[in-house]
Amino acid sequence: MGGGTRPERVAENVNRALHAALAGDPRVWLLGEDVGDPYGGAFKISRGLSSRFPDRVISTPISEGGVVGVAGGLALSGDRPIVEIMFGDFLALAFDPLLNFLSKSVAMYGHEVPVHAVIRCPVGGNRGYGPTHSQSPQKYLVGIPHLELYELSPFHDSTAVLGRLLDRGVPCVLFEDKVLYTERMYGDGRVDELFSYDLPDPPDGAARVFIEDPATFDVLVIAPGGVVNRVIAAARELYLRYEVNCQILVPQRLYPFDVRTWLPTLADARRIVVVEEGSAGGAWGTEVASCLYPHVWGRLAHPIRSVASRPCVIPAAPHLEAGALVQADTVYHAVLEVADV
Amino acid sequence: MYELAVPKLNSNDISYVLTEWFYTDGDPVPAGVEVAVVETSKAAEGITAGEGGILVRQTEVAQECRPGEVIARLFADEEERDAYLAGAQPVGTAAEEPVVTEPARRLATEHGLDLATLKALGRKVISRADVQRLLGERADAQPRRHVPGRSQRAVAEMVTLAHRTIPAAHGTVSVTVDAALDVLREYSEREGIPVRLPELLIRTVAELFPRYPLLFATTHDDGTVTLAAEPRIGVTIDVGRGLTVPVVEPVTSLRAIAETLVRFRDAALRGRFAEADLTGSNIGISLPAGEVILVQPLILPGHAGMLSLGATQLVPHLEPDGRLGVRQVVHLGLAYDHRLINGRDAATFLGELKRWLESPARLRTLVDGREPA
Repeated sequence: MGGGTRPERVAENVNRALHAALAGDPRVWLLGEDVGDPYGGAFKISRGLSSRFPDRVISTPISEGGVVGVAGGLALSGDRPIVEIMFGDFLALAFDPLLNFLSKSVAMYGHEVPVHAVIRCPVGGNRGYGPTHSQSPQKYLVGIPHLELYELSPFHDSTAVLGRLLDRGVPCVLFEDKVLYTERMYGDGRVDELFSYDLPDPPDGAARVFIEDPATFDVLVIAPGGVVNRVIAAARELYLRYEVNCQILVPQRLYPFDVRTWLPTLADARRIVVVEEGSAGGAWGTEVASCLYPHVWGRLAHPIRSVASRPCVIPAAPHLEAGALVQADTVYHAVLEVADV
Repeated sequence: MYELAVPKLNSNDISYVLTEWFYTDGDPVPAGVEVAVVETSKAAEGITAGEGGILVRQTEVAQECRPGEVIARLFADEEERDAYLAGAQPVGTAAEEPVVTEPARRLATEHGLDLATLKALGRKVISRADVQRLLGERADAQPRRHVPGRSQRAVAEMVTLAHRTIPAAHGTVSVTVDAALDVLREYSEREGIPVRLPELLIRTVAELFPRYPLLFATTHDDGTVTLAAEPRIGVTIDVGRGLTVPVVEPVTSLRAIAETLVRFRDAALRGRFAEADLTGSNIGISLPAGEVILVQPLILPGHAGMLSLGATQLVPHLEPDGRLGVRQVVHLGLAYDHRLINGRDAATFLGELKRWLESPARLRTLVDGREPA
């Protein structure tokens, strides 16, 4: 049916990135629960890795704190561990080694110690997995010195992203929205018949999704990879119905949030919306807003709008879950409000 | 055609992975057999076809499929299968339709632009601004505002007032003008000045003034009228620079009338009428304009009537001996203020005009400036 010519799915792209990382550097490890074949991880992202690299792909006991601690030890020994947390919700169990061990190791020994470690964690809802397997815990890790946060996106090739993260020298958490796994990567600068995208320099920068001309837009929407397809769906409706032209910036790195490469775009931005799936209250978007305000103050037509999920326990029933989490129509209405249509 | 859809196999998974097909495209599949296997997060499940037929697979091995998704179609025979495949739009080969926003669509519809016109723009996305540009390029399509000049605004004021205030009725007679034209030709040759039907009509109307005082009366808002001491006939002159109605002085000589009309046309061309030329008329005549044969004139405010003269036509006609002949005919119309004049009066006036214009004896009187016999 011509399926072979279609762009690969995000899951395949991440799987390929892990193959490349393990193949390209003998110091790279993959640790995680049930990552071994034939199971290949809860989301099949580590499929084929343990067969190909049996010594460096290790299925671990169910102890996130222990696994991340081991990763810290490997990193201090000069290796480059990748940890897969089965569900991002369980990152809470690894909070202590992230806060007190891996991140602090970079700077607490009197001289800078590179810590090459990547913690991958599937996050997000809309899968009916209920309160403890659907969360987006990005915001809980915002602001830890020497801990960088990234998010998987359908625009950025995971091989390059993972390679950069392993080279950073600080521990990195890579959030992977599980809804994204089954979706397709975008290629050739094309999203659909309406939207195009590009990847302006630098290579670790944001993808830019726009209609025809990136220099022209009404509303700037900042949205990480996990929610970007919902934002595109909203932006499409907004343009078709009202000709509200949204430009969408898809950052790779969530924290520290670096606006310097965005300054040309921000110079034209009069209306800004920041979208995340995490719940409202101490949200990532408010950190982004506080980073943006010094650069856009006095030019905005409207305060920066943060769009987040409802601050509630995520229901298991799909229809209730859909109402709690950020959806395309949540974004649609927020942008419409900001656009003053 | 039977569509094989994936059933909902559990409440946990949003989608499953198709792991195996037992048949390939084109295979005849019996009803009730397992056709494929999908893997849920917990188990592998066979998918059974409820009906048999020739198989066309829609999903590949290792692809995900959601509950309700059609993974295969089964056709009664190859003919039905081929017809379906011929009709199915191959992905990516059809020329892509442009995306047209709703504001653009609305504006295009308002101006009668169809989708083909928008497509011809060759743009991927068509917004309201694109449609506006397109409309701008079509200068004709863009509604433009025209502000009438001063003289036309004066005409507008006058005709609006006439239309609003004068309950006019209208009558028309047809006048055979062969005799009149003969007389005029002779007169023109003799006098060395071209004289035509308008001059003759003016002369005739002046002639009838004493017997039809109400037609020359000046009307007032209170319903009374002032009767005129003499006929002062306004004639319509439009040489393309706006309509004017200058007044022909009460004269008896056709030559004088002809000279007056020449002067009026000249003044109209130069746009230089004296105020006196344009005031004081008490009846109007709408003179022939091009090929127009019948005119229903508006009565000038203050007047009681207005005549109209149409273009001369050739009309076939039976002679007394039965032979077919040709006559020259004009339509002579009269609009009259029905508050003052009734149809009978108008008909009498038009009938008398017609007789004057058709009678060689009376024509001679008019031309020679003598009292009629």
